[in-house]
Amino acid sequence: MTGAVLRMGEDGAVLATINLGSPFAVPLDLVYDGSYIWAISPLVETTTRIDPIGNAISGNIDTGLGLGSGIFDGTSLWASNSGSDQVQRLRTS
Amino acid sequence: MAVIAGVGGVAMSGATNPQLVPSETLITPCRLIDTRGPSDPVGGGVSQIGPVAGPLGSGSNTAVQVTGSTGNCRIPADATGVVMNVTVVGTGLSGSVRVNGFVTVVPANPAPNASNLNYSVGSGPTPNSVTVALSSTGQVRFLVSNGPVNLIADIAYGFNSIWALCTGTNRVIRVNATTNAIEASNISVGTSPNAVAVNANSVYVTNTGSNNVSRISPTTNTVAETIPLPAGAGPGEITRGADNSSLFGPSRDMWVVNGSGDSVSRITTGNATSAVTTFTAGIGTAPSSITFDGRNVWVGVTDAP
Repeated sequence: MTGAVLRMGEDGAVLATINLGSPFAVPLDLVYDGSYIWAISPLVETTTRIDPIGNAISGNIDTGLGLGSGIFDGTSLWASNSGSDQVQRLRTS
Repeated sequence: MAVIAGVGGVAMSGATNPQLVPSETLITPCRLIDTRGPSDPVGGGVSQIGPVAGPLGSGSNTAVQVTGSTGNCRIPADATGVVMNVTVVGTGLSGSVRVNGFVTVVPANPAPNASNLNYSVGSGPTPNSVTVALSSTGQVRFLVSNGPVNLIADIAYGFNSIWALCTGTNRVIRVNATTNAIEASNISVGTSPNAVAVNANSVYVTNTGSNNVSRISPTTNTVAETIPLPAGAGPGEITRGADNSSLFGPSRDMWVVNGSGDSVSRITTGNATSAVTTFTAGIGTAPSSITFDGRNVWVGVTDAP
């Protein structure tokens, strides 16, 4: 398992594949914040920021084990963490 | 445990795996404004709806009250944003547009250097979906760069409800996000409901165990359609995709990841019966997550091909 994010067109064609670079980096959730795609990969304790303009990874945040589903509230990315029994807020700017 | 963001901020649920989705209270689509008058070439003698008379000229900047009663809409006072289908109709023959320009919809001035809808000389009626927050007084502003053009704005839904999935009992609960009251507690769906998303007139629930999607009518709080997916699909996350609205009403595609079927399905909505197209080429193994950026669909997979 390497984990990847696919970009698809309306016609179902895969336009780009962004490999997340490490084994088990399977994204449990994807969130769009208006500018970037955020891939939450709990098995590698990382949330990855993908720039849609270049289809490239533009940052990684160490978010710990157990991060689950996320949501963007217009300012921040919020995600539940079952590993730490916390809700984490990530500043996306 | 799931995180939700509803009216009033963000909350956390620790219930036994109901999935709570920040959601929009779905209303019957209504026309907020239609600036056309009886003499306009498109509309067959329509009468102006709402407070704005057209056509709108270059540089016009028009405030419209959304909350309360405007046009054909009755929007709750606590609404914080709306999703609209905004359409530009030109003043030429058959509604063709005479100028190049764009429309920007904002809660209040000043407007950013951005557009929600672009039109060009000779184009016919031009719609686009617009998601916009409301001002502190419940207004939005429509800015037209170049006129004359007419505007139609149909509100698809406003923000106000939470839909909770109960996986063990195969049902959905609807909660009013303003009053916290349960509005419907026993909406029966398919087997092992997994994820939920909303469209203009419906709520869509993926059912992993029965390989289908339940389309719930928010008007009746019942399943209006069961949409079959390929055998063994194992549908998981679902998202709202591209706008395919028309002058007949707002609608958007829905996209589903099929974790067991190694595929992604597109559900074309807006008709009495939804149409499903399933894609497998290039998907890889076990797609697990999905989102939409306004243009493309993004899918998280366990292994890319």
